[in-house]
Amino acid sequence: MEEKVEKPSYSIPNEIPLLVLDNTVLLPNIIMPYPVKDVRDIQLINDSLVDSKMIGVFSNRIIEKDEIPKDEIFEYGTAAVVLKLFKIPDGSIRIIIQGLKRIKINRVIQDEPYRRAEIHVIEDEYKPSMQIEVLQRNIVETFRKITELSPNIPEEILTATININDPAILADFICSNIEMDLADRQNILKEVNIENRLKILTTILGREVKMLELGSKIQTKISTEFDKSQRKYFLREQLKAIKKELGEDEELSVEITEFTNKIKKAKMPKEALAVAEKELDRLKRINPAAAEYSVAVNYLDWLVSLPWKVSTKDRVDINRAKKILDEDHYGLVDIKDRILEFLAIRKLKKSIKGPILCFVGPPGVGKTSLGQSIARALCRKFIRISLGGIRDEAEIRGHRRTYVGALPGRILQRIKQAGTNNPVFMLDEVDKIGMDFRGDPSSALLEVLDPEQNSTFSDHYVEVPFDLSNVLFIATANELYPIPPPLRDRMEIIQLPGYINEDKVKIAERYLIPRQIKENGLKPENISFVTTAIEKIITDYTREAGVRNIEREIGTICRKVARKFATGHKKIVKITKNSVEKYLGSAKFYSDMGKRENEVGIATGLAWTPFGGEILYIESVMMRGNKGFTLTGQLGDVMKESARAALSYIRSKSEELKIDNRIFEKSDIHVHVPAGATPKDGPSAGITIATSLASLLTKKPIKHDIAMTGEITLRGKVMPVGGIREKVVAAKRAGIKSIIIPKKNMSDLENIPEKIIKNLHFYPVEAIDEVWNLALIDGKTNKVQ
Amino acid sequence: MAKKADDHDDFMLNRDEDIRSMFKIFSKSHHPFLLPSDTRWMPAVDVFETDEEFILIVDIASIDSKDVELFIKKGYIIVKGIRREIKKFKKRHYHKMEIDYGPFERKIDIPIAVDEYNIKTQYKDGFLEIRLKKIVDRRGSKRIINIKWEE
Repeated sequence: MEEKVEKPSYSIPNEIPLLVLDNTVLLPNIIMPYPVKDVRDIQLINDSLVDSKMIGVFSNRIIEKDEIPKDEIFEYGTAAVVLKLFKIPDGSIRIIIQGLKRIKINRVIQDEPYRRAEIHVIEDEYKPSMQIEVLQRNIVETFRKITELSPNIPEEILTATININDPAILADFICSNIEMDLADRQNILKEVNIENRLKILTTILGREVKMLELGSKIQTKISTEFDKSQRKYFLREQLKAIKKELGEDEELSVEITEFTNKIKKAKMPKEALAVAEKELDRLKRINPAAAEYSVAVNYLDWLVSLPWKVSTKDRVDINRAKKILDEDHYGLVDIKDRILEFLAIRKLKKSIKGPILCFVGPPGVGKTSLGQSIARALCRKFIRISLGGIRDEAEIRGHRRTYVGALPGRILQRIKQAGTNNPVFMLDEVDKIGMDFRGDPSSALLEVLDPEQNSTFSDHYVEVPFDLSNVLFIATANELYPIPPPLRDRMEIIQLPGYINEDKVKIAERYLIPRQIKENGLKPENISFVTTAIEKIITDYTREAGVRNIEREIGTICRKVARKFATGHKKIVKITKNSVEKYLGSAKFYSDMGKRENEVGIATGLAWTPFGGEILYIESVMMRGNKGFTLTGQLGDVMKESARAALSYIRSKSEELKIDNRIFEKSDIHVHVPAGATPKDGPSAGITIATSLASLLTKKPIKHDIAMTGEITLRGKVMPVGGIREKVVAAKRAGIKSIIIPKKNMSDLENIPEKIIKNLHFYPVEAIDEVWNLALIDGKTNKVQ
Repeated sequence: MAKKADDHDDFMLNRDEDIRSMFKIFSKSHHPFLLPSDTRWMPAVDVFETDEEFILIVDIASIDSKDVELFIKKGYIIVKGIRREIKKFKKRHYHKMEIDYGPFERKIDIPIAVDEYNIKTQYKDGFLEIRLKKIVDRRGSKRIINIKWEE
């Protein structure tokens, strides 16, 4: 048969432009669409269409789509012809190409604008054999399995495969139609020997079948699991329906009927009742297995267990209350009076807004235990929370219910715990509330502590207002100034000054010793304390405003005595002034008032600390030098400045004070305030420093038993200072008899219990000259100098 | 002629429908598709019959008479040839290239009996018309055969 149709123009040329494919391989006889995005590639395609339409198609070695270093291509590729072309609106084109023959690059002859290379065509090595036929059948069979397992391959492809007779085309066609690595595809492309090509394909197909089988196994497992849970759900629904038919309306309602009863019993206010019933309705509809169910149950649980209507009846027997308060605490007359007043009003008027008291005083003076006594006196429950270090607003007001594991705030938690809506609620350490990015708990407390607002206190979790107006809130604090002013404003501040030694002796005898005896397993007949021994413990072993250390020291003695009894001692142990040292070691503090003498340059001042008042000595010396003025003892700026003011005033008055002016030229002055390790600041030592300096410069000694406090101005005026109460207590404790205070502070003395002021002399002063007249001794020279 | 047709029989896709259905898939899902490397395209055909004739119309516009061949064998007919490209526009830039050029081949099944030696062909306005005479009596309708009964 003669060849009528010639096809010279379709033979593959030796030089060909190269199109690099991303992550795919085109094999001979295969028609494939391919998107072309690169501008240079588009030019390449267009040029080839005008020419022979032939291009060389090669694959990129790198699989990543972005940033292709174009030089890394495989050397084996396929000659292809562009059959069709469509432009896509984004400027790229889509081509349909048909693979013709396998080719190999000899050398690249052009790089820009696109690559061209010299190539040669590779022919397949094919000798028909049994081996090939077996492989071919095997491949078709495996491919059939793959099409069954994989949803992506249309059945028509399989039909086509079965009808392909040529093994080379079969391999290429299957390779193009299943998922495989670029490297695997490239291996098939590279292999010219048909038998080997079929072998490679067999391995790849085998692997693919295994993967698909495994995948489908996992798939079925998942779907059976899913079916199981679905089945359970249907069964449960059916069960519900059956029960409804039987009239045994549901087992899940055990919980719900329980709540229904509880809601009735809780006697909630209207608002809360509405919310509770709504929540209960919702609960009925939720599947008990749902996570939401337990959230709703929790919430309802909180609602019904809050003491909406439960309260203890106040016993308004004022005499009994007074007895209880006196029993528990010695002294503290002011506070007891205030509490009894509250009770009296309560007796006259049935409903009363709970006052909010705030006890301010040094540690160990009995603030917390006073709260307990009040609860006892009123027959109310006592609860307390410590606010020290709380930084999160949610601690007070709770978390919103949307949070996982949300709970109400501590206020409602404790109220629930108390079980009544009118307990005595103690907010300890209200001055130590922190504040950070989680909010400001003290602001949340404002609502709690305002008698006008707290009848509708709303917790974030509970969301329904709860009436806190019956609660008697008592706050405690060591210091007043860290409490935010709005909070301070809402409370009635009651100051507890430190105890004086006489009080401490009484407290020790009445409360501390009996308690320690009991705690250490002794009996009252085993040990007795002589009053002088207690005094010694107080003065020589403790220095504090409260009584904690005294109790500790007494505890130490009791422990040691208990040991004696445990090792066979029989007789009563009597603790005397002398035997204290045997038990507690040598004295920790010295009451040095007695040993002191009138000296030049040593003045006695009074200081205030959060732990009560303190005695402070100010020492100054003068030495040869050059106009220097040194201040030591960890002094703050305010204190240093007031010392300079004092010195300047004295220098300005040097003639009247009969001080030789030349002395300032030739000497250095050094003022020191022991103890050197404690930081000190404030203006209240002004007159003390001035007195010390005046004594030094005039060489007149200072009376050692006179203490002073007051701010000095540059012109010698004496200004009032704070903390008079604590300072007086400290002076009394230290055994000082005379105290110089600014005249304007005299009114503060009215607040100090009579007992403390008794036997003390107060000298009100307005100017520094008066201080010097009182404190400096004329005529005598000091022996030290 | 007959021999040529036999070659194609061996090549691969035996049935015309295989290729057609694969075309359908290709246009939908872009699954790689197979065409012998010496064929670029397949012309569209209309196939129908009248009372007397079996008629094929092949859409092959712009084809030179020397570039087309026609084979017939029992059961099918093959049209093959080349559509040469228009080389008129030297510097051209493609927006669309949809028209098929190059070698083509189309094998069309003939499911009924026809007289292979009674073919009329006509090429006009780009359509190739092929008319085959049906053999109604011999194959299309049944013949009743009398059975001889022995007594």
